[in-house]
Amino acid sequence: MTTDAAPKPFTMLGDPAAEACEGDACLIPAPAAPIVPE
Amino acid sequence: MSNPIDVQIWSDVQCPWCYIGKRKFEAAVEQFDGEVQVTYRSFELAPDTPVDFEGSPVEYLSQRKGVSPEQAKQMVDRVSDVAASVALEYHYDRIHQTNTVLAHELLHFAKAHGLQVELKERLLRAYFTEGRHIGRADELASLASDVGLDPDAAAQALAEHTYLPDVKADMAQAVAYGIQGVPFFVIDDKYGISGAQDSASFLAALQQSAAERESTPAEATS
Repeated sequence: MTTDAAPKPFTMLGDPAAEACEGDACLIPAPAAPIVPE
Repeated sequence: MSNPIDVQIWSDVQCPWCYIGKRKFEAAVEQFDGEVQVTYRSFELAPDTPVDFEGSPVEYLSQRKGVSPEQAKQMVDRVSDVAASVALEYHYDRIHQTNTVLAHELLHFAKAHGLQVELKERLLRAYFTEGRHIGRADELASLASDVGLDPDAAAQALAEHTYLPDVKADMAQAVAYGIQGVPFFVIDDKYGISGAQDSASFLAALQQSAAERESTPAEATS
């Protein structure tokens, strides 16, 4: 399997605010309201 | 259509929005008047997580992010409600937080044997609904057997890390593409869709790709 060297110029479709996981915080996803660390 | 729309999906097997997004995408495919070929690509959200993390996801989040158990519980309840809206049962009280690299290796093993889509669904249900430990090779071999894969061959591939280079290649490809979050869908190597979109958005993207193929038939078969 090979990897393209350069970023792919995808045309992004859909709602850019759709919920997705970024990093381990998403292993439990973000709440509706912001959470303030204790 | 003899040449299916190609959809590459980067996701992790312990990503709650990936399972929700999968259901919404599948609903779009059911409405789509054409064939779709799906390939799952590996994306490890937390590659430094130990295989045997002792504690619940709520405790994991509390430790990693410094939020209270009550706040973590709010998060769990919210995503479980969204999951239920697409007929998925999330049981965070049973989930085993773990490292997913072996699960990704197994998905590549399944791909080599033509059963990747089936195994992806099996792993997600095992993790979110059944509370199975998807970080352990013996559990993964059992789950592989559930979808018709040879459990002994699966166990051997996991022991020898036969497909680890494929997992790393997927991760490198994600970086090269600038993918920062999952699920991330790439349609016909042209369109990108990030997150658990509504089914209508997925359907529109599939239809747009199909329409472009019809307008440029020479490219569709290249």
